Amino acid sequence: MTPFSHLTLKNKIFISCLGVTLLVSIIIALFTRSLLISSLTRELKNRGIGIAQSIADSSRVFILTDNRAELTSLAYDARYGNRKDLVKYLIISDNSGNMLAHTFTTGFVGPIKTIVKQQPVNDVSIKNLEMGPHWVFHITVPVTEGIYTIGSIQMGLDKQHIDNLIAQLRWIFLSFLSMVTLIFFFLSHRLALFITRPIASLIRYTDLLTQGNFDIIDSQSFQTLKHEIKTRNDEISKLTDSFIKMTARLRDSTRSLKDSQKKYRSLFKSGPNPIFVVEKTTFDILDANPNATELFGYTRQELVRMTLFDLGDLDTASVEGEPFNPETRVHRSKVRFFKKNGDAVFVNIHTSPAEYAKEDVIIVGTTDITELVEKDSQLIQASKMANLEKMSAGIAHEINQPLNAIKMGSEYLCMIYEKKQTVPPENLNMVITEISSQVTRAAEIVSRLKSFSRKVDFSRELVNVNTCILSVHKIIGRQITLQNIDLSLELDKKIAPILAHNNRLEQVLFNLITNARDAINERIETMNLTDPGKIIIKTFSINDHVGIDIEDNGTGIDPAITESIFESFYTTKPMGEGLGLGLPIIKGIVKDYNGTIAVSSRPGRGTVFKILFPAYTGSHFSKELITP
Amino acid sequence: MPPETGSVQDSGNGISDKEILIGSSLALGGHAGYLGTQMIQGAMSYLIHINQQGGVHGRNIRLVVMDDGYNPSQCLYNTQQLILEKKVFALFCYVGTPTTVRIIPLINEAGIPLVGMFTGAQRLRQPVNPFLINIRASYYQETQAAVDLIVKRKGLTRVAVFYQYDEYGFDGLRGTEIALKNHDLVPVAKGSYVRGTLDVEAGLTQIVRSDAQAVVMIGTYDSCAKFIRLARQQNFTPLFHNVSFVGSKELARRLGPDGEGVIVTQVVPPPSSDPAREDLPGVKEYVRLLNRYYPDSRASFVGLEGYINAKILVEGLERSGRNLTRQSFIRAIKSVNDFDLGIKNRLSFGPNDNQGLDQVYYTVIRNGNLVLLP
Repeated sequence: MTPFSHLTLKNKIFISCLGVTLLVSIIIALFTRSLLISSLTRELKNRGIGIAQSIADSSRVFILTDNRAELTSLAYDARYGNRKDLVKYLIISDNSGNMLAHTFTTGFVGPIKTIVKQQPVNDVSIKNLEMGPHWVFHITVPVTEGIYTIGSIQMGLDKQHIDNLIAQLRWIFLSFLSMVTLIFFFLSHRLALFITRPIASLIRYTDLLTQGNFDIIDSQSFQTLKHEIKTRNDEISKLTDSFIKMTARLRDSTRSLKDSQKKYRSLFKSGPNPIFVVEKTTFDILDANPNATELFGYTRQELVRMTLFDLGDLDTASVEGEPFNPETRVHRSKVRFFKKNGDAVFVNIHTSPAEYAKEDVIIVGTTDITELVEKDSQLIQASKMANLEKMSAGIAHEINQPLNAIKMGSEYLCMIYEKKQTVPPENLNMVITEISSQVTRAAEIVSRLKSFSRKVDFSRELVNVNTCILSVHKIIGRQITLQNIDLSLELDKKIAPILAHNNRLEQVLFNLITNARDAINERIETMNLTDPGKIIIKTFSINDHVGIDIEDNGTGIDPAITESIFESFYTTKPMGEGLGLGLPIIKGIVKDYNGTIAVSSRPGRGTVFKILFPAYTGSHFSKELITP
Repeated sequence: MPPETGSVQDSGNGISDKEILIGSSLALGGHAGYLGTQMIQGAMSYLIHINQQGGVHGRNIRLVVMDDGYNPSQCLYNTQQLILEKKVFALFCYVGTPTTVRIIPLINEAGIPLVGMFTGAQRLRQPVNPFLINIRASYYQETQAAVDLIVKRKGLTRVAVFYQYDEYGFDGLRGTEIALKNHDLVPVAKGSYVRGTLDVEAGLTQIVRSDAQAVVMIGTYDSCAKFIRLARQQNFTPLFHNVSFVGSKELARRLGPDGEGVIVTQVVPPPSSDPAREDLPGVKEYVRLLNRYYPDSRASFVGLEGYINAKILVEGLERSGRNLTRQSFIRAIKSVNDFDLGIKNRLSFGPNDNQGLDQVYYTVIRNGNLVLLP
């Protein structure tokens, strides 16, 4: 980077023009000095010789007649003639160097007499001599008569005069060049301004535009610039024209951008759903619309100091499958958030990446589905109750069995007491232990019933599917066995936990097992087949998923209706027996935990329900994980 | 060329304890010899008188006189010799226009004062040159007076000019033309002759042919006398009017009866040969001193002029004091104001006035004598 490149365009043009002018001036000056001055000196010397020769011609007759008055007159004519500034002195001498006439009025200068005497008079000669304070060109010209020299004209050309002429010439040139330079200074200044002034105003206007000030387009000065530029037709005018067009275009697009911003801002503000703007990596809340503050009870100021994770179980969601990826549009359903007062709110989440105030952000739209979840729970509860009702006979039997055992034990003890016999200690111990164990058994059944019938909220926890199966088996296993159905469990003990809710999962299993039982009973009744009913429950791991198969050898499902069995209120059971809410609810629950349910059936041979849940890989932790 | 003062005048300036050296180059022989002789005698009369009284501030005035024969080249050579070789303090009493004009460069170069020139040339008066100290009225003034006389007093309108073909003649011609122009007139004819010759016939023919009523003549006595004589022989008798340089006494002498009625303008009053009959004290003294020191000579206009020149020279030297330099001398002369020469008209110089007298006198030849025109 040279210092030149740091200059403004104006100064570059200015300095370039000036530089060229100065260079040309200097070249002219040097040319003048070398050529003009030497030729001037030569010319003046020739003039001097010319004068001397004309004097020589005129003086010949007077030298011959020794007419000193006329010779003096001639000498003075030359000395004070047209060339009086050039001719410093003039001497007419005879051939032996004696002065006949001269122009020294007030006295001889220097050793002039000796010099005159010493000059060879036969040839024209020029010598550089010092005469007193002056330097002169001493010119000698012979005066001849025939072929012989009779005298000489000796003349001093004032060097001072020649120098003065040269100095004068230099001054004229210098002033001329100065004037040219001055004119060029002015012209190049004007030229630079002519080029750069519109550019400078363009820069000024661009700066204003950068600050978002588009009003300048309509300002007086901008219109003046526009008008001025129209009068010229060069690159600058084209540039300015393009700039004006660009500015107008920019203003229009900025206006429409502003309009759309306004539109989206009003959508953001008045949208029915809570919307958050969160930072892409830290999930800091940057903005939230009034609905968000309304729903969650935080003020906007409070919200912007929180992260999205502070609001709810968002990171839990990542346990279920792919991590929360802000790059893509993500949809999460039934995420539990908490209000400021601690109340849980269930929301569906839609995210989409966006840019907000020049930051990469995620727009998080939430839909409050708390009410929906509540309804869901109620529906599930209702279904549960219906199931319980159906099972109440079996359950009663289940409870009666221990009660009978207790009664038998206590009657034995009473009988012994009435007979005043002593109970052998081993019998007493056996009876008491049995009673206690039967009470425990009954209590367990009651407890399970209680827990089964409990209305649960929508939350996720780590659940081992095997535990659920065993729990359900405990409630209805005996009942099923009593109906001569073989319920066998083939559980894979190494399966991974899943994120779900125990109670709900139990309900799913419960429903499916009772369905299987019903199918088997139906087959036995309708087909009068004697081969025993069989229900097999399997668990297994497959491709990061945990699978449950519930297989029966009941009536099977007509392939024509396999599509509709998961629809609400569809039932194959006689009026009053089923609510038709079973399979749709099951499907809903499975879906809530990101699972799938499929059915394969051969009518008359049996049905297999296959459920797959994503296995919990354990990379994300939650509160529930620590205290399952 | 601007006058170079101060540089050379202090070395060898012609002043010693006892003497002041004054140089003069003028015509002592030849066709204008009468003028120079008369002038130098008039001047010497007074200078001898002063020297005999002890000189000026104890110094005698010595005049170095060289003859140039009214030849400008000779005058130039003489002047160079006077300045360079004789080293005179001042130049004095030069005669003639071409001669005096020729030496102006030398005067400027040497910075030497020249006092009293027997010429009325304008070149010596304008532009003002401090070294040239004129005493007499100019040819412009003389020709102005001549034209005034011819046109106003005589009522003549056909005026011809006869002039010497050199600086002197041209000067008179210009003066006449200027004066005529003031009356809305131009010369009806112009005739000339070459200095030092008597070839007046061609000029005369032209003037005769023009039938002029008056002829203003700017020439010397010999040529003008021949012109007038030849004119009269041809019965051409206009009013002949000469200027002072012609040398009126000699003209009158040469013309004899032919001179009757010829008018000559003078710059000094006419001196009479007998001092007893003289009214003016200055003229009276001149005639007295001339008769004492040059008893063979007769009083003349030119002589009186030389005498007045000498008086001014002495007055300047007196005023300069003992510590004399060329500069102080010039200053002293310029300070002479309203000076009584005893000739009725007083003499004055000024800072821009380098001519002492302005008066012009009309004289007419009556019976061979010059008398003031009434």
